Amino acid sequence: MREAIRQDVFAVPEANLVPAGCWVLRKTLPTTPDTWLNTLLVTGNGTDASSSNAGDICTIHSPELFDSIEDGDVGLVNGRGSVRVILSRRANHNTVLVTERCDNRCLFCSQPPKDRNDDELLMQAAAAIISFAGNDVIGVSGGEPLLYGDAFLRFLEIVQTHAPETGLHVLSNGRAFADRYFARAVAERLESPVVFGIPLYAALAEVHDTLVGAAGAHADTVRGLINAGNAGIPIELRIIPTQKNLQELVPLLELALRCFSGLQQVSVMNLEPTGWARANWGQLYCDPSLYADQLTSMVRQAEAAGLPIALFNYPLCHLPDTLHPWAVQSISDWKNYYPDTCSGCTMRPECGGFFSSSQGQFHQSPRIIS
Amino acid sequence: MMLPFNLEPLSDSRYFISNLAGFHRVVARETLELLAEQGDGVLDAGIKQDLARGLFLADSSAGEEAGVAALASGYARRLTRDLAFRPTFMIVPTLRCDHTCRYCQVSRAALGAAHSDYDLDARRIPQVIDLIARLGTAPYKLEIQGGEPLVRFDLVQAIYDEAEARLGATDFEVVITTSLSLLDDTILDWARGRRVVFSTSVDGTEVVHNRNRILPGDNAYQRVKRGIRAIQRQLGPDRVAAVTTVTKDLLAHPEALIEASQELGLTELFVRPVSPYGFAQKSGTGTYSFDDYMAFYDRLLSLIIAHEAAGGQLLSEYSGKIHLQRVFQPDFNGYADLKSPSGFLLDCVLINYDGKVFGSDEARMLQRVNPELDLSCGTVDHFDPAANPVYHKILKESLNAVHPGCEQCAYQPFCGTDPCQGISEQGEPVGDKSRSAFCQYHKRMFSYLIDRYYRDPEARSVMESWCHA
Amino acid sequence: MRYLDKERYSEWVVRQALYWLTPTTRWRLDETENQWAVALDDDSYSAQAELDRLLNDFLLRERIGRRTETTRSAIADAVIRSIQQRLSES
Repeated sequence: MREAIRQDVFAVPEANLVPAGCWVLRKTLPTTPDTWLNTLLVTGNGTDASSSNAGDICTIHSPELFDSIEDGDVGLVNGRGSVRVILSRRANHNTVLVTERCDNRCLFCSQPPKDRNDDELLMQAAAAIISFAGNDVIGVSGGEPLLYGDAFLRFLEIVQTHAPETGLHVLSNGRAFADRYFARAVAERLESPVVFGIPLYAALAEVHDTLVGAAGAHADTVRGLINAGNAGIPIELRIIPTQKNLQELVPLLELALRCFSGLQQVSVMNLEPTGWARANWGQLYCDPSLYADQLTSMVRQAEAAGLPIALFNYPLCHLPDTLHPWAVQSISDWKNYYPDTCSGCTMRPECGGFFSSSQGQFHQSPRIIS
Repeated sequence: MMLPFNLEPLSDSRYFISNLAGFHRVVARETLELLAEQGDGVLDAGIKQDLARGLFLADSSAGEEAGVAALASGYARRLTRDLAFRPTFMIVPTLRCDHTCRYCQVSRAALGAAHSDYDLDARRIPQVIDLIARLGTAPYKLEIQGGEPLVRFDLVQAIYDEAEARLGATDFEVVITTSLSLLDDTILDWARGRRVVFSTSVDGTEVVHNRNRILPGDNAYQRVKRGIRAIQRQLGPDRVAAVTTVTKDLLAHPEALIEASQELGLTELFVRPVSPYGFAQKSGTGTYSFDDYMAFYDRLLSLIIAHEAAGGQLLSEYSGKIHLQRVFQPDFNGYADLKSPSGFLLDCVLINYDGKVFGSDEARMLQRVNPELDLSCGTVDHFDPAANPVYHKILKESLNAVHPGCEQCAYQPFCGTDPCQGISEQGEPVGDKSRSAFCQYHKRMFSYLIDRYYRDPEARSVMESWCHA
Repeated sequence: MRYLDKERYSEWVVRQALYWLTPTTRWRLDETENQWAVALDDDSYSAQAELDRLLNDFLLRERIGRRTETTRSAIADAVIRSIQQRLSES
């Protein structure tokens, strides 16, 4: 793996003595204990390395981890000697995973689903968000978070009551909103800023259903988007261009502009070479130069309708100059990198760079911007 | 499975089809015959996909359910969007005018007429702006109409000052609709640092323009030319726009319009047929058929295309542009005539020189012709549309989807209604669409533009630049 | 006088076509048991052709409309529901 901008996983041999789960990471011993998570005191060079596993507080010594965190970050201990910092005050974006179950089987899923029961993740995530108590937006992803149904409503209530400053960005396939009573129930519980990122890949049902590996998914998501928008839920519509839906991009945007309400933004996202996308790369990835016209047309249509549109995960050199203003630096810092050839590039400060997973066959080289 | 849509014939056995959400396609008659006869099962796969993308077909019962939901949602979006109250506030400081134009006898009074009869009382201006502040939201759009508003430049200044104080210095914009005959350095100096643009009329080249626009003892065309030039030079090219009323004299000479725009340095044309208000028909100058008008428009568009192909600057035509934007641009509702519910009152609040308030410019003209009716929605100090049953009737019947004649029309999602024109022509707001000038004009514009857009690649690229400029 | 078989031309088709024929010519509609009788003031070829064109288009509209009748009312119901919801949200 190429070196990312920020490291998030740390091998700490003594962490295998710490029970698996979410811990609030402290660099100094807190005066009052955290009510939501157990406390893991991290010591570094120059701090007192004596372990005290008294009460709920465990201690580990890792100068590397100590130097990478802020007091109150949240870590996930796997019980096999590693700590993953899941909520970091230094990160440009934090996400919690609430389930690995999903009713879609997207050909490019970055987090391939598992069917085992993992209900404990939802309340663990709530505890982590509340304990972290940040005032930025935290991503809530899966799997499909809305499979929890009513439990998800309780999750929203708890998080918003106890972490009112924290915004949420929930990544969902939106199928659960096909039930308009559920959509309304979610809408009624939105107090702090909550946005749902919902992907739709085609205007044509067969194309979307093929890409997400689930018959009937398109009909559910379309109805879900309509119900959620009409109920007043803020939505970010996500579109991933692949070889299979190039013909769909412009009609899909028209569908969104004409039929969906509540859209805050349309995000067009370059395929990320991770998870199943790696296995299906050859039949999915499409060079952006092959659909630059469609992107241009989409940007034009969205702008004319006053709907913000952004292009995510595109190195600037893969887009025509005219689209640069819509490209955003979007790749999370723990999986973001710039190849050596980028070092001389004057555009680098404005450029989103590459996924660190895009090595070997998945790598699309930087190009010269004329 | 088929989802509902409407159809209208274009040329060459092709049809324009559209649905409630505002999607459209152009299809061959044989495709429609197949659909009517055997349903969508027999269609070519490519056509089927194309139609499914626009919600004309659904591929399954789940898809049908989603399609119904999407069409309904799209339709509801259109209605709520067109229902928004975002009026332009028109103010008529005076009805007096220095011109005695042939087709305008309704919205003017003689220059020498008594000020007290035809001018706004300056003491009322704070009330006028107060009404605007209460009804509107920033950015406010103000349009100063006439008569010739520059006859009372002092009132124009007072209106601007009051707006600046009451609405916020950068929260409004003023359009002054004027012949420019009275434009002088004082007015130009005043306008320089202010949020003011001028809208004027150019009816063709000098001969045609002066035949329509009569300025006793002077040359109207030379005046407007000098005015446009001065604004362009001193204030900038974006500060002046021109509207062309197509009279019979211009009908045979669309090239005159291209010539005039070259001479005046204007790159946007805005051509319209003579309006059915203002006695134009009775005075005999405006009597031409819509077929004649569309033949003129067709030649004008070809001239614009040829002009650009020959290396000239691209000229746009605003009427064509708004019809196209209604079709191609979701959410476009920037033109009061092409809205359903109609833009009446929702898009316009007109404050007349006498303090009466109207729901559109047409309503005040209609009022002049029909003094026995009350078409106002109150006065500056007592704005109350609910008090006048005519307003209730007009607004109630301003939804074209339920008008006989519009119900089946494929242009319905993009079109609108003009209740005042209905009242003017047929004595009631809905009217018989087969005899409605509004319907004839807009239906022809839509079908002409769409037909040409899909038939003529050169025309298409010109039309696309209009829409995306 | 034009006679149109009622079996082929519904009253809806005939009335819609005549509605739009008004700008071309004045007309009168009568009926017998099996036929519509249409009298045109202007009986010229072009007026007849316009009537034929209109009849054809409305026949096509009728046939297509028949296939989507139930969906049309489903949409109307959904529109009302959605506007009500939208108004209650705002």
